[in-house]
Amino acid sequence: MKKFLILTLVTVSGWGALETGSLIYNHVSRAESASDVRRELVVDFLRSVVLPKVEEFSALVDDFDQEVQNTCSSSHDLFSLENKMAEVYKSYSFLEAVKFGGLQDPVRAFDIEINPLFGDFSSCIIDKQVAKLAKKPDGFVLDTVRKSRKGLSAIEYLITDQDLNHSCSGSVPQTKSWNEKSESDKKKFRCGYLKLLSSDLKLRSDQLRAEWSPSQGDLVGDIDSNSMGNSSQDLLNQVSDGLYFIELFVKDAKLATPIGLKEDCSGRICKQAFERKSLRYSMQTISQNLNGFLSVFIGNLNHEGNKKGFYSLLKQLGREDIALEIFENVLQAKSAADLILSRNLSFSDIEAEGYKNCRAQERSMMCDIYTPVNNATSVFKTDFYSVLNLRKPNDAPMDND
Amino acid sequence: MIDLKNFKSYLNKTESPYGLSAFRIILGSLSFISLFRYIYFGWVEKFFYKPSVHLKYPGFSWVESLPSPYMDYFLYGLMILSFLFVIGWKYRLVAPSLFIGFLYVHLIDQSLYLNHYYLVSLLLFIMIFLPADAALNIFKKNRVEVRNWHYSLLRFQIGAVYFFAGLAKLTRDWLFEAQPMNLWLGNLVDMPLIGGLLDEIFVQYIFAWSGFLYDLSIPFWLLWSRSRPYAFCVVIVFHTFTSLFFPIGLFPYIMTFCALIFFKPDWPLKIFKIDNEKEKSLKVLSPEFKGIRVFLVSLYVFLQVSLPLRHFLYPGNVLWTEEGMRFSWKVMVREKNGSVTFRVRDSDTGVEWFEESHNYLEDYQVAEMSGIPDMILQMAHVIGKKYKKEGRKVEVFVDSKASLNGRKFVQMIDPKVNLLEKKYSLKAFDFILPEPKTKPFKIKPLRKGL
Repeated sequence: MKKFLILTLVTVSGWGALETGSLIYNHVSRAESASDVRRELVVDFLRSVVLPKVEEFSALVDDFDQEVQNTCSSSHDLFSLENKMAEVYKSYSFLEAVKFGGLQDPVRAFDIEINPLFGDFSSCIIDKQVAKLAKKPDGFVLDTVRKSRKGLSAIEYLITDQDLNHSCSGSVPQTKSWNEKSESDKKKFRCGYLKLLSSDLKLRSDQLRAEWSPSQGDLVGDIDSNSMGNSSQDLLNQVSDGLYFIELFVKDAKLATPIGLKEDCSGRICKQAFERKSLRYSMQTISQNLNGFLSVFIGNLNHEGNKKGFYSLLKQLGREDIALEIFENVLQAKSAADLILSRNLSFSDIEAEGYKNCRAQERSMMCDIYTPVNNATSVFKTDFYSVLNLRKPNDAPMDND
Repeated sequence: MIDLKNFKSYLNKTESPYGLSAFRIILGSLSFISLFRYIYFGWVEKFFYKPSVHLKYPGFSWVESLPSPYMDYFLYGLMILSFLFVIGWKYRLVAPSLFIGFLYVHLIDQSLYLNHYYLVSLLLFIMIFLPADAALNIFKKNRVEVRNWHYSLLRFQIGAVYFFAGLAKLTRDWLFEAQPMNLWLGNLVDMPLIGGLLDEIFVQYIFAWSGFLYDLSIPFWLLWSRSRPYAFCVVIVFHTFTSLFFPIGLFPYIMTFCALIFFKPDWPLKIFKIDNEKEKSLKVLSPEFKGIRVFLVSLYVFLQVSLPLRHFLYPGNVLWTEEGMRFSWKVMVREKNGSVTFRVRDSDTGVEWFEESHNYLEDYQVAEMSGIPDMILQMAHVIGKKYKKEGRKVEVFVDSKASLNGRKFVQMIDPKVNLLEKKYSLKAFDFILPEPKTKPFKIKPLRKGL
């Protein structure tokens, strides 16, 4: 009897140990599996969407820089560079909405370095730099120049502004004797400053490429192998932090302000608040920003092994409705922006249509972009954050009880 | 167990001062660490210097933060006071100073409200009136014998946190929908070893029910001498888990160390093998629990019981209206995310525009305000005041949406109401729209191979 009891006890204990072991093993594997799903999603998105865009952007910057150097050593006709510049801007506009890694790092502030749009940009301070360069061509060091005086917006101004004279001598005394220079000198010095700006842009785009390139920094590879030690939730948070660009910059700065929905231009259209100097380019950047935002939800459909971005994750969690609602609204906004682009409209067409309260039934063309973006960001800030238990950018880095 | 018939004599019974003095050391240390974190993590700049607007507690709009660098100096000063509190030097002066200083720091901006800082403030307040410098104090020659009511008051306060936190979980969402546990645990799949279990719905129900039963009953298990050691082990395990799972900072440590107050008052003598024989001859008795003390303690207890229950006086779900939410130990019971856009209308011209909260508030303040109606109301008045200063007559409306515990977002505040016509009062707000009646969505477990 005793032997029987011992045998039973040993058998039951052995069986229990095996079952427990197997249960723990299963759940450990499941933990890895669920964590992997999130990590894979982020890695796939970075590899199939962001990395090719970074490469494209860097290649376009290389090309643009080469063209600047060529043009400036021959004709000094900067206007001929406009199309190349537009391509660079277009590519960057996509990346703006999918900030990750160096694109997001506030210390390096890569985005501000190359796009000081929302800083204190003014054409007079660019003129001032050109005049300073003209005065002391050898002693001019771009590194000491403030961020708001270089980057894409400064480049755009030099290329698209055809008036070679300066009109800021009152506020910027350095430009006083500028207008007395010959036209060829004016072109030469503007070209000189553009060359510096273009080389600076190339330097930064090279840094970005180095960070992402599989043969150098291999950011995506590091994330994939988890060598940086980020949890999959951290990675999702980093992606969602980047998406906040749509809320703060596209919705509020690029749309609401110029179309008179905010105090700055309340009740009127003010074209100086549009991002770019032409409506076409302004719409192009908005369209590309929205395109970038969409790509986070659907991935790169042309890419082999695409995981379809956040849509797949939310679908698996049982909340594909959130992804679809965001997707439909952003697509609608993008279509409205593309429609303006395809009709080749100008600021005066928008002005002619007049200010429209976007809550009214009769909506303006710009409200057709703003309203769905507003709807999408409402879902984004509420349901999307709740379901994925994400923290908002710069949320109080303290306890939460 | 307490004999209710002789409750008063029980409260007046003399006790060893060591447990109370050990509590002084614990509380002072926790206060020191809390304040040190502000300095260490750069929160002084972020929370006190950077914001141009602080969202105030009703009745405390006069509390302002000090300009740079004086807030830093103030916090350093409070850290020194915490240290003096720990060693028991000039306790009668240090204890109230530390309480007032600690309270001041946490009254500056209600977007920084945390239950555990409220708890530390309350405990520091209670300690002003207790002879917690009686022992473990090199500056004190005479050892004072303290009384049971000193311990009972602290036990009541710690017990109230647990009990009301448990009561706050007595909701359909928590018990029958496992929300917000489903959203929190379902996204914690990175957790080593048990991550794979956490997105299972049955595990989420186990966590929800255990949390509820733990909070509701643990003070009673800690009070009963036979169950106390086991209960304390459960306290340690429970708070270790919560600190691993959730970003709740010092809360688990505060609750774990404070639970030591439930042990017999001479526990430090036993643990640290202190010889108490010599000290007995020097004992002095502390005042009895009678007269004004009975009145003041009863008033305090009444307030501490009423505050967490005051939400029953307001219509609607407290998690949605937030009326009666603060100072009531509703710890980690909701996942709420909001989206707020203010709309300003010039009363004379009728022109409307949007006013971005980010023009006034920091990101963390916007995130906190977005789900809390009284903070939204306050923000509307901040906007109104700005235009009033400019001599303009405006109306302020808000488009405020929020999602609660995984439900689809809905409008939280009536967008047609001019918030400048509404004032904060103890009455229920009439501009909050009804909470969503739908059941919360649950997220499903993830499987590999999308």
